[in-house]
Amino acid sequence: MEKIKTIVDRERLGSDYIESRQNFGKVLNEVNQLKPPVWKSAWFYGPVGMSVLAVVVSITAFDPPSSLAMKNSEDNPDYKELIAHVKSESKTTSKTAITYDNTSTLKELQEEVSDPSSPIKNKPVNTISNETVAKPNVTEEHTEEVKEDEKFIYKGNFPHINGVFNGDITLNQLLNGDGITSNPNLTIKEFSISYFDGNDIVSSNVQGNKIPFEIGSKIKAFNIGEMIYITNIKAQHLNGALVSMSSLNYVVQK
Amino acid sequence: MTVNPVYHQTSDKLQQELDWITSAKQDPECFGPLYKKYHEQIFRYIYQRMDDQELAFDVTSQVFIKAMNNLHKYEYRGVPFSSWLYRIAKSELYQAFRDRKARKTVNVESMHLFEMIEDFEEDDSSENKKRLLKCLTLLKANDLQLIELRYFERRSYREIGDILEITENNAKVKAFRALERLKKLFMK
Repeated sequence: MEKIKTIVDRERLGSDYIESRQNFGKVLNEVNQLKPPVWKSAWFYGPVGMSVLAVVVSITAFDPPSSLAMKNSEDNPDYKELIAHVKSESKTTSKTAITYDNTSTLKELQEEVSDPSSPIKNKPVNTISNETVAKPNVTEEHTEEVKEDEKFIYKGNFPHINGVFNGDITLNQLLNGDGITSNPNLTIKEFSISYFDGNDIVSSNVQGNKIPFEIGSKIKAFNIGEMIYITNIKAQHLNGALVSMSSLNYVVQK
Repeated sequence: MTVNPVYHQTSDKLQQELDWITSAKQDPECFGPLYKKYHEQIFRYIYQRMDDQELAFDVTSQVFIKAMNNLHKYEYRGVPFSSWLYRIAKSELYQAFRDRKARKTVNVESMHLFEMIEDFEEDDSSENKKRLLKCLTLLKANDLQLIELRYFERRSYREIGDILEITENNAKVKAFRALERLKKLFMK
């Protein structure tokens, strides 16, 4: 049991003294400090939250590159329909998919070319970068077997070729220049291109950001006035994150 | 026995108090007049039950902070605002005891002891005073509280009822029984 202290005839404190110890300012200050911050209050998430959302939506709606990206993004029903059409055609014709390997360096390729016994002596060379060239590594595979890599994340970034985002593109713009580029922080790592090779529509996977010479020559020969589809564009961010980008559709012009 | 008249207020004063409360619900700075009016009463209530004066001032401040933070929950029931403050004060006081910040204390005046001994029809000797003090510490917390409120602080049964959240009649009965139990302990 707790012991209770007893005090008899303790000196009574005067009312003036007690009044002098009043400090309403301090109490008020503590009350204000105990109040939750404005951004935690319910009203903040009501009207203010809705206003912020409306502003964000407005900015997105009136931002030309963003709206263009939406036009071509995989969320666009028209675009989905187009891709489905291309895929269905690919399935029925069992086309050839060509994989270009960018890993060999120019030096390695020159060694191979200088070797008279090399079967690739007269192979075309890609100009993807200063140091790397495409070594055509032709493999037979069905396009439906090409699956999306799950580690790629769609971020809605918008790629382009020499500033052309969509529609008509000249051969010069398509085949010469910097290839597929986007945000400076992103490096295009691979893409798929669907085109007519003289016999059928083929879909090729390309490592790098440029259309290889071999494909370029086929486009030049058979696709003037036709549409080509560049899909599954994968890029790597400076921080190492892999990004899946929206597709490109072009009508090739001379 | 004379009763402390501070608690009882006219309907005009109650209405004025209600106006202050309504304003303070909108703007905490309007709580100022209520703080000024009740600070002393609440401090005395707390200091009566502990021996540390500075801590009593701190607990008093804490009572008003709690009151201001919970003012939106206050509902007027026709009794002075102080009854609500006393309930908060009681809670904060017990919290201070639980946190071992303060020690439970019974403050009595010799006059109160004398009156009580006289009621018990005993001699007003120093020995009896000591015995009565000892008996007070042996009482249950609820009984001691009623004795303090009624016989040492001279509060009306209505005020005791408001503070303890019981009816006026119940307060009267409970206070009487508490006194009977004290008398029984004293006569042993």
